[in-house]
Amino acid sequence: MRTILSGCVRFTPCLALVLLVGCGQSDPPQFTLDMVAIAEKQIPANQQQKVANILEAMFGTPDDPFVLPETGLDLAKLQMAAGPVKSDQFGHETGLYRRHCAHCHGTTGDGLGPTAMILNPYPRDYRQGKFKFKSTERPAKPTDYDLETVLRQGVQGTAMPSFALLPDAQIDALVEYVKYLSMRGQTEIGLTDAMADLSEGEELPLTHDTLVAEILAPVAESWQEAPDKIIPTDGDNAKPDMPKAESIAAGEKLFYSAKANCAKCHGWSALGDGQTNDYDDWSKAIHEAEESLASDVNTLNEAEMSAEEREALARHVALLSSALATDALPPRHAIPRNLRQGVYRGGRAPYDIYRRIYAGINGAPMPAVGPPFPGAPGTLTSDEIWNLVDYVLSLPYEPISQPPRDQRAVSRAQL
Amino acid sequence: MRYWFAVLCAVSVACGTTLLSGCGRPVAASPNPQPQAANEIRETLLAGASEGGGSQAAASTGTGWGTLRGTFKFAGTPPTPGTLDVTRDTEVCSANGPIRDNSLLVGPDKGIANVVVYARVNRVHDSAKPLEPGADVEPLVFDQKDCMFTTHVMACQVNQPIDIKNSDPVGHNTKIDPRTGVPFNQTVGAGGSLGYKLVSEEALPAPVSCSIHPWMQAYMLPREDKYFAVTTSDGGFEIPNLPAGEEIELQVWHERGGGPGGAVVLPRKDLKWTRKGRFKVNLKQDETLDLGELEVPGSALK
Repeated sequence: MRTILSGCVRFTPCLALVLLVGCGQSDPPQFTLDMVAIAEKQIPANQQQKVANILEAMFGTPDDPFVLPETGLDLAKLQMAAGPVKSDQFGHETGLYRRHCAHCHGTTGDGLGPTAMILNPYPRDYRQGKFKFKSTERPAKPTDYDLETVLRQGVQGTAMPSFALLPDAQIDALVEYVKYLSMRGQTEIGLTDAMADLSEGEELPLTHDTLVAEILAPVAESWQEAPDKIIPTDGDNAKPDMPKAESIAAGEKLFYSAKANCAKCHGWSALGDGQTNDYDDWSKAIHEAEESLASDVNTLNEAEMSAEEREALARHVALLSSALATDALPPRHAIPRNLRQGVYRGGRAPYDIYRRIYAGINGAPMPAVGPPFPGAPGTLTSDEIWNLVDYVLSLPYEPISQPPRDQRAVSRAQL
Repeated sequence: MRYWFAVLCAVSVACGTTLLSGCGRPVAASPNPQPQAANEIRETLLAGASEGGGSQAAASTGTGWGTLRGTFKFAGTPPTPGTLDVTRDTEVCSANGPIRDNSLLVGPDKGIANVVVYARVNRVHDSAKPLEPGADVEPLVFDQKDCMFTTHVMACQVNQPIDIKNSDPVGHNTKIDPRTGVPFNQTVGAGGSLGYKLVSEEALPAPVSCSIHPWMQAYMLPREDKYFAVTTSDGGFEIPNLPAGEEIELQVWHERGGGPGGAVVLPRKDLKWTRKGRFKVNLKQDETLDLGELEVPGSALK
């Protein structure tokens, strides 16, 4: 008894000390799960653990990445980008992602790095596999070259800087690592969706057929087929041979028309002051989770239910609110671009603007006006899109103080 | 001595528990992966595809076909639907009066419209077979009029052609966000139309919205087979030709469903109703099983 007691006496302060002070050396970083989505889908703890284990099996850890051959990713590049920031005696640097990216984009690529909260726009969360500024069809993934362009040029008008000074090999490694984090994130969504879809008592089979063929492979394939999804800007889509002034005038007419609808969001003066209270897909998900939480709190306070139901709902409310507090940024409205500033996030070349109008911006409210599928008729023809490109590129040079022309003398009240 | 021992142990346990788990409220914390379990899974995955390939679908045990029907009724006094905040294009959108909030439509006899019921089965009748890509079937019309989607909840088969129309004199954009399928966000000019298809099955209906008019909301559910129904204004649904002689599971969804993703959870232990909004039935051959009135308490809806 005395031994147990003295053990207990010694153990208690030790335990308290360890719990309070930690162990001196921090644990290696871990990828984390999207707890907001998990709380919303009401995935139980044992299934969360399984998802975390499967993801580690497929993708390794932030210090020790791993990829299955189906991903088509290059492990050597990933190892250069992963891990703690280091360089060896020959000057080979590793830990590039943590050095250059993680403080905004987060270890998991969830856009929840420590600086994310103070940036506007927020850093990209890669996990949904949606990228805005690319040369491919709307739902398609960006090509490696698209990601490389973002890294080299930065994103004008945002906190994303240019990494043009990095050696080519480092840029390549970071592009590969962004694809890796995005595949991991989209696979996580696939896994939690599959868990949510299970029937009572059913288990997710831990087999190649289910985990790789059904969940991982479609994600990997969407990345591999990106180069086939580039929107051409030549051939049928080539810029028409039309005098510039004529093209600008045609574009202006379309801009304010009920066919192209540009002014509805970008505003009748193109200052980006039209529709300003929608959200992009990332903020919308959080906004909806917040609304759902508010409604659950309301139900909890007002509706009649059994004690068992009440306990389950109270638990759900606690989990969702704690996830929203730690795993989400406050939703922000998507503000349409002010087209008179001449700041183009996805590049200022005419073909960049053409692709932005043709396919819209994936993840953002900006819709497409080109063909929804290759070969299908779109809302606008290719020539009409080029007219809009010419008009949009002329807007920064048109003085806003100039009296509005007749065809767009529409009062703000009508918006 | 024994007393102090007990107190010390209790304090140490309480202290540890509080520090580890907070103050009683459950907290969402991402689980740390378990390296050994992860390694085992990795080895399985590296071994590649199993012999004989894919389908783990349970073997069908029954024979014949049956029909399931029922009616969803609101229990108690339904809330009066409000109107939506129309902030754009009011001269067009509000021309026929204020836009009603369609998220919960309860009829005069308390039937709930737009409840979606769909089955998860192992055996499919010829009349409910999946559509081939490019199948030659009449397109469904998905129209926008008076700044509302005319079909609030649409269930259809994968590969079913859909004609997305705009019958308004103002432009709309139609944004469809399926979880597994291809997202879509296209401008549909005034009086215009566009062809669309949902190319993969969804477990839950996909939201449809319009960024220009943010109050516009609808849902689309693509399913491989034809075992789905959307309740009509009297709250009724009927699904014919379901596999008989075996237990089948049905999912129930409503836009305002309180369960995960909009699942409708009813306190019906007799139907093995789960927290995911699913229930089970076992139809006899050629039987028409009428579940009668399925009462939906206010607490089951958001």
